[in-house]
Amino acid sequence: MARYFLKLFGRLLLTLAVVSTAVFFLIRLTPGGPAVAMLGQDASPDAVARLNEKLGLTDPVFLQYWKFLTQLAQGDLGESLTNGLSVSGTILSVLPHTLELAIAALIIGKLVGITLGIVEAVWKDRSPDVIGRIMSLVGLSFPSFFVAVLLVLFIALPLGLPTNGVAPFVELGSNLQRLLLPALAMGIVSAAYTSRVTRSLMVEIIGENHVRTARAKGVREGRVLVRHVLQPGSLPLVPIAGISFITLVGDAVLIETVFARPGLGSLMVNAMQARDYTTVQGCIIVVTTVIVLVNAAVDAFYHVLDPRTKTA
Amino acid sequence: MTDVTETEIHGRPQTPASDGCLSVRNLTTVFTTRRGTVAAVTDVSFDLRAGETLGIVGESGSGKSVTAMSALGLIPQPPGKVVSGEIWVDGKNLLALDRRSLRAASGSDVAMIFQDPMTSLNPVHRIGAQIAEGILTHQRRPSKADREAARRRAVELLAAVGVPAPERRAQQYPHELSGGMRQRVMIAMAMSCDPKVLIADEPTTALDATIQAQIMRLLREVQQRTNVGIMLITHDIGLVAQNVDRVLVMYAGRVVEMGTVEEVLENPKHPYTVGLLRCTPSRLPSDSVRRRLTPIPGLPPNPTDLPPGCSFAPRCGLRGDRELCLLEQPELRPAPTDDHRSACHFLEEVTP
Repeated sequence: MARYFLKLFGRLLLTLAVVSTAVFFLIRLTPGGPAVAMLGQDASPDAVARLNEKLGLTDPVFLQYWKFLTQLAQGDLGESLTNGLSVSGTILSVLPHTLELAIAALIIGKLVGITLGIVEAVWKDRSPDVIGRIMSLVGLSFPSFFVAVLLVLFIALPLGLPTNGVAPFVELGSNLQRLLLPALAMGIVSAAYTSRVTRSLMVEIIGENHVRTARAKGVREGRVLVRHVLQPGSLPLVPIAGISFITLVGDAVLIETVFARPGLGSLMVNAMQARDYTTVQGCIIVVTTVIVLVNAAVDAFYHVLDPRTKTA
Repeated sequence: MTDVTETEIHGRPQTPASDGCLSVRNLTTVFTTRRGTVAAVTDVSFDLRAGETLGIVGESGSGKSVTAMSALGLIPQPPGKVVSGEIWVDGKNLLALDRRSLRAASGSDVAMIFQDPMTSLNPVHRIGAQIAEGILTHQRRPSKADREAARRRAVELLAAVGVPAPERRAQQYPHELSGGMRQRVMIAMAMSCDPKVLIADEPTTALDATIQAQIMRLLREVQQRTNVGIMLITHDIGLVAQNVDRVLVMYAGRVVEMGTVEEVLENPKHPYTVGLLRCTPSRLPSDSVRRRLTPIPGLPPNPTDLPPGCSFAPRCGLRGDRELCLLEQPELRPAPTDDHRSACHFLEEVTP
């Protein structure tokens, strides 16, 4: 067990080293810079140079890199170039909203998608299957931000639901109200994808020999479905859920913009536009950590579920 | 084609014989495909007695498995459909039962073991639990004590089919067992409710030769203990010669010859059976004279487009240029006794 966590930690460190190095240099290759972004295109070169020096951007790039690494090793993501606030503080204040959104979308997507996929597989080629497949095709062809706009137009406005911002977690009702639409927008698209995957998986398992064995034993159809189709079928769905979650964190960038929700996505987009190097680096590092941890959790969960990986 | 005329032709009573633990009457199963309706099994009738082993032989697609699967309602519908016939077990016509009653009969009256033990067990449940499930599914609202009893019975069954350390094996998952062990588990599972009929659909095809012999010996032992009637589906004539009492030879969905194993193998009365035997290497040391194997020329007929007369006529060496074979479907008739029947217009001319 200790070895497992040690390996996980090593993998996290390696990934972070590669990602943080890449983002450090790549962001500095983008045209413009924080000084130009802050002072505007028409600022005098003199003023730009002075601001750059003040921000510490005139130092040799490898010196900057060394400083960044030593800070990072101490868990310090530095200060924002635009407002001087601690980057980790800013990220920690918005991260829960992004995670909340991604988790809610994941739950909606998986609940709806898996249910739909099972229904389609059980009634393969009959009307529930055909209707379900058309629905998922429509869902797949709409990008989530477009679904978001439709939801605002046809649900939020008529019902008078709030369409922007977030509420603190202590105001649960208001928080959920503001969470519902963005989570639905992302969840619908995720459900469409999930139902496709689930359907083909279940269709495959229904045709397997052990399902025939169960029927030959005289097992009830409902029990055949749960114990002999869904249980073996749930295994591959676990890593798929992990991938979905990671995609959803990415999707959140767009959806947070549409709904004007403070979150990691909107923070990153604004930081990119302001060439706020430290904030962008911080966001990427945090997202990477989340992804590595989610992957590890999925792996661990899979080991618990699948007896075949235990003896190996 | 009504049941009455069929019965007259076969000279058999409509109700099954009293010693028959399984009686199949005029079974016809079709599949609907894009190219039309295909008769997988046409008008098949036979009896299986308690304690007897009946071998069903024929090449792939001759309707062996479909016959067996029809009995347990395992034919996927659609595209498959049992259009007519009766399958009697223990005074019940399985084909006339509703879903609930058929489910109650599956596993308890008729049990089945399959060709591929590697994939026929559920990969995510323990062996013992899978055997116990078969027992518990036939009990109404099993109590905690019933579950415990089923678990113990599963271990006993594993011991009875020669699985070493049955207590430990019951706690293992299928991937931890070899193919031969898994087939033993399948047999234990099939025997868990003391069925009257055991359908073994190519039980040894996926296993190597030594394991094959062990599994067949186990099936014989189980039969001696329980007097179960075994329907052994295979394409291995050697297996049939050593393990069955009576044989049914199928071709293109029909029974072409049936009789005791000695009669059919030593004195075949249908050209197809003769062809099958000629292309089977002999395992008898007395046949030390090396002979070449003679294949049957041609291919089995396309099931969507069966010839009007005898299905075997296009490949038959005996037919010559006789018109009757192409025009009229031959019926099973005594050859020459009632126990040995052949569906050949000219069975008197057939020589081994």
